[in-house]
Amino acid sequence: MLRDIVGVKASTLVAMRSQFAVVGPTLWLMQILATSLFQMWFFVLVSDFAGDPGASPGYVALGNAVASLTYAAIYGVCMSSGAEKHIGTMATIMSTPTRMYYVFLGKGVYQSLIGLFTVSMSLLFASVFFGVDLSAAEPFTLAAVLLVTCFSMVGFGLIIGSIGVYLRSSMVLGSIVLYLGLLLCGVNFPISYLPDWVQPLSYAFPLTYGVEAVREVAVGGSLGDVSGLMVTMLALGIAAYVAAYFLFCYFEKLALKNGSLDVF
Amino acid sequence: MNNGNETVISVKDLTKVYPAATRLLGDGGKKKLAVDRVDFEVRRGEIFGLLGPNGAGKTTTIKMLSTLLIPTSGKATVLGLDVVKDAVKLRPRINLVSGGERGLYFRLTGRQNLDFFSDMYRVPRERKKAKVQELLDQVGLGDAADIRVENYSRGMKQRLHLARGLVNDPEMLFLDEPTSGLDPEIARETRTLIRELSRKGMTIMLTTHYMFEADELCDRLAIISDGRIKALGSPFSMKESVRNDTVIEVEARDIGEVQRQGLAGLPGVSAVSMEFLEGRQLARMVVEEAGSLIPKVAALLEGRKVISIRVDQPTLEDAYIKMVNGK
Repeated sequence: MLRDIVGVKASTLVAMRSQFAVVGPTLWLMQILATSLFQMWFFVLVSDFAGDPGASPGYVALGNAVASLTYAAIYGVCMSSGAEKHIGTMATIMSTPTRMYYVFLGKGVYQSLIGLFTVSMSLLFASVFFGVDLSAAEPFTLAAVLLVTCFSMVGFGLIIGSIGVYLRSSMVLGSIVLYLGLLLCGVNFPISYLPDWVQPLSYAFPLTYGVEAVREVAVGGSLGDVSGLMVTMLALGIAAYVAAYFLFCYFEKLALKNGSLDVF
Repeated sequence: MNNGNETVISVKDLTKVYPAATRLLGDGGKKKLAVDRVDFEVRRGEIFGLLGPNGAGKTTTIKMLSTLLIPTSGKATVLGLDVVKDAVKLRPRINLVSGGERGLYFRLTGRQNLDFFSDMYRVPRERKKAKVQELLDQVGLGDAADIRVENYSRGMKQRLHLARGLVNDPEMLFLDEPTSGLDPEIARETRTLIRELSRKGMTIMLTTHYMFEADELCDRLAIISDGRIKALGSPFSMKESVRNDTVIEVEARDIGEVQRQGLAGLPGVSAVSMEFLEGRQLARMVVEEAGSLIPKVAALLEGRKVISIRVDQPTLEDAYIKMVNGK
């Protein structure tokens, strides 16, 4: 296990180096910041247009700021499994003693850093452009909530990314989860707006707890106030990492059996 | 360089059937038998070649032996370890190098690629730096070590592949078409490198569809076609198998598959190969006796633009074609 940490570190480094080799830091920064800003703006305008007195721009902006984590935590991890397959490195990695799970864990570490940066910038946008008042928020509590949300969501990303070891790509699933998150997790409207039978599904997503916790912290909630949400999120996250480990093993075996490791 | 009689690869009844693809709509295609009850052994220090046409089952076999594919049935051990049950123990002791350009991080430098794969093989940190430099120098990429792989030529990428294949000092190296698509000079350099590795005592198993390459490099080789081994032995013994045959070579301008089949159907013809050159075709027939067959060949090609018909000595390539396509 300890020896696998080297693999995790190496994989993080490769992800980081590859990232900035595609586009320079400036373009990359523009891309992630513009995506989160425009998404936030779009939903703010939609809610404004809808004219619901409960749908304040601040509510929507804050939800979207937290949801911006999904791009890195889920989409980013999924995309990296497709990329490994596309460039033919997945089979090469598979032939080494380091298990694929640890390689993707490394990618998850890198995507966590990106996610935390994105969400921090999104909160800044929400505050500057859309009137979200974060003055009552305890910085340490807010940071702790975002960290746990990010951790849990990367776990979810790993679950979906594991499918990419077997299938040609897990991007399709990644896209579905991205939009499901917007629909189910209380990002743009409260979960109570959803049909009754859909609502339980919302609580399977760590983002739901993350969004709720950030909303509480924004109005001055303490660590104690959000500890229940954080523990649930943490438990969901740990379960996701464990499930991802076994799913990686399962899909690796399936890929070795069907010869789909380098099919892209 | 064969160092002795210790068996390092043992393959018995090895079979691989690729399952039909699962699809939501439609049947997803058919199962494909890629390797069919193959048996062979490789000895320590040997360069063993798997030779065959495209789709013969060479890559599937090498993937099974390097733990990248689970066989459907049969048994294979490498360095005394079962390729399925002991895959985790086996991986640190072997390495696989595939031909072509895929399998490298193009956006990283050559050195960063080797760093990463050294970590994947858990090469100790204190050894890694020197080892990576040594490998880069060994494959002639010392000066290009810090250039991104996307700027490498195909030959440079192939050399980097080889260096990557050596990061863990493998006892057994699998090479899947290591010179495929390389220009002649780079291909020759690659073969020289393979021979050097063999001289140092490494056991090497390679696949190729170049007869001359197998002849030049391999101590022993297996000819595989349609998933089955058609012949097994040294290149010399394979050449010997066609020593008593003769070759009739026909050069013409307008012959095709129909004529090839006609020539193959003539009595006494054991194999026919056809090469399509610029504006003309070259058919080579491996025959027992040429004299009586030439009039029949001429009769069969009557009305075609035949440039020449000549008799030749069989080469190793003719032996290969006889084994792969022979009646």
